[in-house]
Amino acid sequence: MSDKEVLFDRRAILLSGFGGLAFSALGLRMAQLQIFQNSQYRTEASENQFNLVVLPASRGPVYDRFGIPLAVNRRDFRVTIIKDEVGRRQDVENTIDAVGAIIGMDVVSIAKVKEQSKTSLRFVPTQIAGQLSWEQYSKISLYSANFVGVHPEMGEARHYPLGEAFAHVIGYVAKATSEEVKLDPATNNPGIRVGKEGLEKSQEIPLKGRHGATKYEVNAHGKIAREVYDPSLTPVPGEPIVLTIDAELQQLAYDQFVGESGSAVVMDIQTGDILVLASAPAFDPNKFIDGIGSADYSAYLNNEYRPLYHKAIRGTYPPGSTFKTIMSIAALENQVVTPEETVFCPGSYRVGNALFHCGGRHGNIAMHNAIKASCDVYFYEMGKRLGGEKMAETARKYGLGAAYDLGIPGVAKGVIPDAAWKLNRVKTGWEIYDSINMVIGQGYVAASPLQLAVMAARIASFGKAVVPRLIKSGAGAVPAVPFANIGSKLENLQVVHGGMFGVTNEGGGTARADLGIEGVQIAGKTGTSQVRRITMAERRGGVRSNASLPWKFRDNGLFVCFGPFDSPRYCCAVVVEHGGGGGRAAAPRARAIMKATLLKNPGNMPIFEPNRAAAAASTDDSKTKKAGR
Amino acid sequence: MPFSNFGQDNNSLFGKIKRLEWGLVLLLTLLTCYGTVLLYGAAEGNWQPWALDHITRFAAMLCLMVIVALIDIRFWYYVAYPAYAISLLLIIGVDLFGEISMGAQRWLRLGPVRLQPSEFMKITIILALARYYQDLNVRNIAAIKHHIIPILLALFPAAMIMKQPDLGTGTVIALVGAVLVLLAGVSWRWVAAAMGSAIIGGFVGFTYFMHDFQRKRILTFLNPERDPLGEGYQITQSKIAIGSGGVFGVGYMRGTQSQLDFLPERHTDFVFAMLLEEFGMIGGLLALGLYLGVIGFGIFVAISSRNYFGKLLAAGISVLIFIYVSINAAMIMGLMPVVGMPMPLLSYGGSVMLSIMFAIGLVQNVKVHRNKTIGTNFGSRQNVK
Repeated sequence: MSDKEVLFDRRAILLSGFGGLAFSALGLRMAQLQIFQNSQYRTEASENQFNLVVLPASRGPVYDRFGIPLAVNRRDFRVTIIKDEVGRRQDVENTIDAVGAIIGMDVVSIAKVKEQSKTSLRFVPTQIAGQLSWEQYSKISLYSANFVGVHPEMGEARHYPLGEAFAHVIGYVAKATSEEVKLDPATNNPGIRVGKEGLEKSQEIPLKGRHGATKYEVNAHGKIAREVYDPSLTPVPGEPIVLTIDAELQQLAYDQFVGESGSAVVMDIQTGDILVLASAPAFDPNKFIDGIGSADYSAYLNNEYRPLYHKAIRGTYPPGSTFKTIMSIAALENQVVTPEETVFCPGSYRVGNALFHCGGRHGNIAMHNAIKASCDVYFYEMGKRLGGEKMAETARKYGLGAAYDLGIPGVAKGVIPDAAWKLNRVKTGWEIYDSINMVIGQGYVAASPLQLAVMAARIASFGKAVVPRLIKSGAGAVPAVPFANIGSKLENLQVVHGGMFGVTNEGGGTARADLGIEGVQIAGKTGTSQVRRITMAERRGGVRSNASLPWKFRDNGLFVCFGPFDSPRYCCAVVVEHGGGGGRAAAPRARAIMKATLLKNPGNMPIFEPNRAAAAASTDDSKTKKAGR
Repeated sequence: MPFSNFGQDNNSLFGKIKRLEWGLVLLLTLLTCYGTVLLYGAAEGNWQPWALDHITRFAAMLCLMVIVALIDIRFWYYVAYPAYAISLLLIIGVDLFGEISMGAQRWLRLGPVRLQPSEFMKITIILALARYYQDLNVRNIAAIKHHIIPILLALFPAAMIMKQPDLGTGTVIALVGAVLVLLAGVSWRWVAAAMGSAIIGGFVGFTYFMHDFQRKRILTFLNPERDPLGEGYQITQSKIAIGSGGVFGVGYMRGTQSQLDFLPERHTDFVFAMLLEEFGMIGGLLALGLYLGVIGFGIFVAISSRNYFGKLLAAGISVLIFIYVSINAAMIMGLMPVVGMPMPLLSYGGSVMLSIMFAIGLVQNVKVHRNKTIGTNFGSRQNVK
């Protein structure tokens, strides 16, 4: 062999060695990727592979006690755009313009959607329009193939068939805020709303159910290869909730307040079921679902009658003379007076150098007539005899000064003052004037219409500690338990019942009127609470009539009642804000509500039991279902 | 005994056929079948569009290989320079009249035939250099002056091809040329000097002469997360596919990365990544083992050949196959920037299979004619001391 051949062979073998090393390096790299980093890459591969599309759970429906739907889901056609699929900013705007033209949107809403689309996330669908008609939906479905990133969708939208009458109780749902999205990223989906007020807010978790997702296997271009069934991702529909409310009575009660600001509560005293929880005026919850316009919202906000405010549970008012019912019980229980004892009413009552006025000159008056005619002087005397602590004790026993858990937010606690409370809040000691003010339900005393209804229920039930209930079954429902006895003597309560019977049925009663049902009577108590201070100068010149005062300085009119008188079953509390005297403003409204309640007697009718499986599948299509029964 | 009986070869056609390396044929067939299985899977279990083509082509190319092997080795010796010249002219032709496809000028259309001249150059450069060194009879072969011509012969077409731009093929030709010069016996000092200047040249080329996409590829290789959904995408997806395969693979046609298009070019340059995903490290080592066998046969043929032309020819082709396999594997495993480099016999593609099978035909040819003496210097062994 020649030298160059020898050299070649030597170098060939040497290079083969290098080649072998290079192949070993490849083998080592394989081991590194496939053995040591295997689990990491397996995770990355599965993340690559799947795409989750949120599948909103059907929100739980809300029914009244007889199954009338109060909050339902109706089929909703909408069209959304995914910016990432469209691409450039300009294309997104052009697409929105084109879609808007096809479905006939007005210029303002198109501009609003464009504005929203600037800040929305690239990969999350942005809603262009919701609540499309079938015609609009068909059109956009036909043309959407021509637009990249435009998706016509069929989903569910919340609907409140009875609107305003239940606005405060049910509340409403709306798009999630960015904070809510942080808590639950699924809420970014344009088909999902979250509860913002009322029951929708407090029972958000049971109502919303569990949002699911469709798991798609996607290829590298984001195209769907196939759907992957994953049972853990199936949406779970929200729980149905049945309220104790009777929708028909609620609507009737709400309708009593046309042009007025007020609230009404009706309770079944045997069960504590709230049959009516109305607050007027109210707002249209349906307007909030897709985002309320700023003009509409400021109209609600600037309305003097405060339509956004749930007065029945949140509003607290001086109970005025309605408070005399339990003050009578306090006086009898504490044996500071007998039913027969009379007090002389000259029309005013002097304590030190202060003069407290009465609505009339009643002369010698005992308890029955003092309640019937609402004599202030009689009760001034009782207040002086009782003192703050004893009055507060009885007021608390009869349900005032305590918040009730109805399962909706904003239940007010009210105020039942005593010496400790006053020292803490006003920083001065308890004075005789405080007792005098308190006994007629003025001064610091404050109670919500709900609390007044509870008070009436406890009086009507001859001293049972009735507790109100709003949710009959479903999430947040409280089991019915027998109510405890307050411990008041039956004969004392009979005296008060008699006085309240007098108010509505005897001559000289402050709210005497025929109920209009043969053989059925109700018993009640009026209240008129001042919201302004009447100066001595005004009193000398004659107290101004309510009609001559600006609306917000007029008296609040109150009325509590129960019936039938012979065997009490229902009670009612009505407050008319700045409506004038209780006998004129509140009592007729309460009487109308009580009459309807007594005629219907809803407490004896069978209760609706939702079929959970059917509720999950049902979507209520009728937009204007009325509580016709 | 395949390598016995030196000097007593029967040069009848039958004798030549008997001397063909049938073990090598077996290895090639196994690799091609492996490739066919993969391509069948890549098309979601269809013979169309790749698998059937692949195996039919192989059958035809196998005949071509035998023909190339049986032609007298002296024919290849004589055509070495003309073939090189023609390839070079074609490359220049591509530069002047070439068809632009996928952003690169690589194809030359002659009537109905589309030619990729750089593919020919891979083989003709080996033939040319083998002939050059066969003809070279000097005392001091380590001296650089004897190697200047072969270096130029390799570098000129390499530079032309890189300009097309086809960095992969250009590099292959430069590397094959360099290894042949090294095997021919240039002194190690010059090898070291060449490596040094290659590194410097690389930097200069990177800064001044590279196309943007090539520069980007290298930057992306150095840091794939720089642009995970753009240039780094291929590397990232390929690594995910390989890494998720594990030791035993995720199973045939179950590779989610490959089947769902995350893996780019899964039937051509990234077919080995699909193999590693579906058949795991075991399947990968099997493929590498088959390649090692092919390359080993080539080197064995080179060492056992008794003419220098045959030695360099077989060695050059082994180097070529080695470069193909290692660059492709290194690229898909993220050890190298992405360059257009198929995996021989696994990747789909007629042009590449033609050149590979032609090249292996030449290895077989060297085997068949291992005892032939060649060229103008008959008895050169006696003349050189």
